[in-house]
Amino acid sequence: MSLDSARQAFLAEVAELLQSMEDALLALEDDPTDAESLNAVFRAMHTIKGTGGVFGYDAIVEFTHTVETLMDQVRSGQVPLTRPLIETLFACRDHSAQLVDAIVAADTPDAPLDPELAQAGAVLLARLAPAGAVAAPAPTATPTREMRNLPVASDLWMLTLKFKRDSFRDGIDPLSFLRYLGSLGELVHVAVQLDPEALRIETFDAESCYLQFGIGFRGEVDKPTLAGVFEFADQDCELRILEPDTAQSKYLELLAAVPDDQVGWIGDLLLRIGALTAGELERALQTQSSEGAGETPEARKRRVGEILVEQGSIKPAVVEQAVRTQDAARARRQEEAHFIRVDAQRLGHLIDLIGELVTSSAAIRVLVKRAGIEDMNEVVDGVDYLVSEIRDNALQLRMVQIGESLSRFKRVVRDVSHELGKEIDLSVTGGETELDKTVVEKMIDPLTHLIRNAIDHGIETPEIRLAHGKPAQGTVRINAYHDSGHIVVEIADDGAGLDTARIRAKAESVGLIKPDEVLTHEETLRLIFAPGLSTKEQATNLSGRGVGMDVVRRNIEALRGTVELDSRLGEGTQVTIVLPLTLAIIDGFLVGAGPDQYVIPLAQVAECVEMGAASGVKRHSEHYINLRNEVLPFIRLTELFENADPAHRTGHRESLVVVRFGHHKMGLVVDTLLGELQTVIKPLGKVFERLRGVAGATILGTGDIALILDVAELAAIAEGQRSGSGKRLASA
Amino acid sequence: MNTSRATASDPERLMLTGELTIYTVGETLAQLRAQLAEQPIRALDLSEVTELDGAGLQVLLWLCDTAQARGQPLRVVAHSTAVAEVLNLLQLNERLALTASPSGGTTS
Repeated sequence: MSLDSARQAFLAEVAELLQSMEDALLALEDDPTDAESLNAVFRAMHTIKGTGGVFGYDAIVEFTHTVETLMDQVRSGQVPLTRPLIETLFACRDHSAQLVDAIVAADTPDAPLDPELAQAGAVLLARLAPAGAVAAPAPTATPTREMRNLPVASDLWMLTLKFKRDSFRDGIDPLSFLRYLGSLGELVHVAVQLDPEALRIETFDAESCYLQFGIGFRGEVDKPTLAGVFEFADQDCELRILEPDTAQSKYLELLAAVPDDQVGWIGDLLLRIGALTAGELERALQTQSSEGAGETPEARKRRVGEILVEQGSIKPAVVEQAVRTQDAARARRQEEAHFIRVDAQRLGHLIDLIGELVTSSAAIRVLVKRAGIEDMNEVVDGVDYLVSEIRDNALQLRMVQIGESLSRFKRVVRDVSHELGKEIDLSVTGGETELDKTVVEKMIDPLTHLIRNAIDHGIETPEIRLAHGKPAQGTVRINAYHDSGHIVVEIADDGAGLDTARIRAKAESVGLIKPDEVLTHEETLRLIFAPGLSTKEQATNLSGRGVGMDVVRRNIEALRGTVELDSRLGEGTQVTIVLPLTLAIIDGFLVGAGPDQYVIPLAQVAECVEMGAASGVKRHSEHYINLRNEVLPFIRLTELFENADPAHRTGHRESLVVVRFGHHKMGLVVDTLLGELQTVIKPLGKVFERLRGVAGATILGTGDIALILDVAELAAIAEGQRSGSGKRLASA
Repeated sequence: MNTSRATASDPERLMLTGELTIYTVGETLAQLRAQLAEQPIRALDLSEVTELDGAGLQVLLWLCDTAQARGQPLRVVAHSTAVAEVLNLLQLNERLALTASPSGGTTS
């Protein structure tokens, strides 16, 4: 691994750790005694310190070490976890992130720290320090620290031997190896242990071997010689050998490597060998018994190892950092057993290729049809099926759960609400909803903005809320779910709601609308998506700089999504974002109108009806149709795109494609229905940026180009026509 | 290999005789289980054990550990030189609560 990629891995790890630290801190705010979260905070600092050390980032090590030490004291109950302390820890987390960014950006570990940053760090550490001093009266705190740095080493070889079940049957007598070992030197300490499984009385089999040995050995030998002693039993036992005066990290590693229920006696052996002191072991055991109350014996045993490691009792003297990385590497290896990290670009490339494949296979189908080779049809069908499977699977690869990205908003809500003196609870539902990673990334900014808006403009201060008979604590709710090939994200608050009168006044004052214009409630609300309209009179540093909702709308629409807003004064506001699940390939429904062909996203097609022929379909007026007693607005595509084929003008049969999006339904009148196809979405160039009603284009198997219709925008256009503003948006 | 209750006066004391090795452990274990079913064992007399290997030792440890787990600790009250050699090698004297010298004599 080159240094650069190692650094990348380091950054990724730090980001993950800081995220988990943040989550833990948020949890601690609710329940300061939550041991799991305390551990998480400790672990994050601890691991960042360790890996940071490997790269020689001293500033990081220094800073995180202090926080780690404090967390250690918090865990052992020496320092109470107060609200201000949590606050400081949040700041420490942020500072760590800045430190890492700054140092990694500086590229050389020795580069002097930005004095401002160093100053900020010093301030934070100073805030931590008094907390530590308060807890200092118990003299226990100090010796802990001293002993930690004391290099306790052993001049003994340390061996652990674990024989396999079949050893006896293979003709191996463990004792003979020990006797032979004894002839090479002195067996100073021997610990014999049965695998705990042997203690299940009923299943114990005398001819299976459950023996394990831990040996402290003194002798003038080298490692190969020792290993040679057990060569004969190579297949039958697991052997570990630690050299005398091994850095203590190795003992620690050994402890970490033994099965959890074995840690107890190995720890004991380490103690006897002198790799750790009695005091340290005892302390670990005490911590264990105080923490482990009410747990199963297994869980308690497991703790000994963890505690020894965490307390740093068997503290590596020299290569501490290196070993920490090895630990981290091991954890990563375990993760990698389930996951492979793949460069997002490679995935993107794969999906591009599959897009080409989809187009090619459509071309083959067309050619086969044209050539009239009946035998080929089956093969083409098979290929088609496989291609669509490959497509789905490849797209699945980029799908991520949205929850991970939503959880970051907890921090946003927390910080912002503190700053504003509001009490706000963020509830996230539907976090397991999956969507394309590229979409997730692009929607985070708009989402952040909306949430900040909800907190800043929406939720009132506790006093005002109480005065209005609402609970003092406001709620911001994020909900995500799938709906016909789209993902819907709702951001709702139970705050003040939008004041349509003020929006209107503001819109009039900036000349967006004329004073005599009549607008519905919805239309007035939509005004806030217009550029330069902010209703908050006082711009805060959070939101309200006037570049708000219009940017949100632009961002969402750039993703082929829509954003809707509903608000009742005094009750709250709900913003609903609808986004396509993926940006690359969709199942489409091909229709013809005039000389051109169009693709409607299949997931949005509800049904197809023949226009005029069916008795249930009645033209109601120019823009409405009565379909089985349901009034549907409709658009004739040839009218919209002004491409009616004069030859077709009279007497041809039109079809009505009923499409739905969210809870809306509308009809599209087309000339021909051409069937389903897999559609690779090609974005239209800048020239067509302002073209509404079209989401992109695709290349058909025949080589022709079809436009992909944006159903939601079409609906908006239809609405525009109805309300008589009558602009020809599509041709704008 | 044979196991027997030593005396009527001390029914919780068990005597093992003969070879305690991989060749006999199966049989020994069966006998021990039978003995345990009858009555707990609190003392072990190993003075007549002529040979002890890893498998034999494992049975002894198993006996001690399970007894311990049941809250009825077990002591080795006497042992032969063959046993002593193994116990010394593995520093097990303390663990088996051994007080006797490797003489074949008893300390009852």
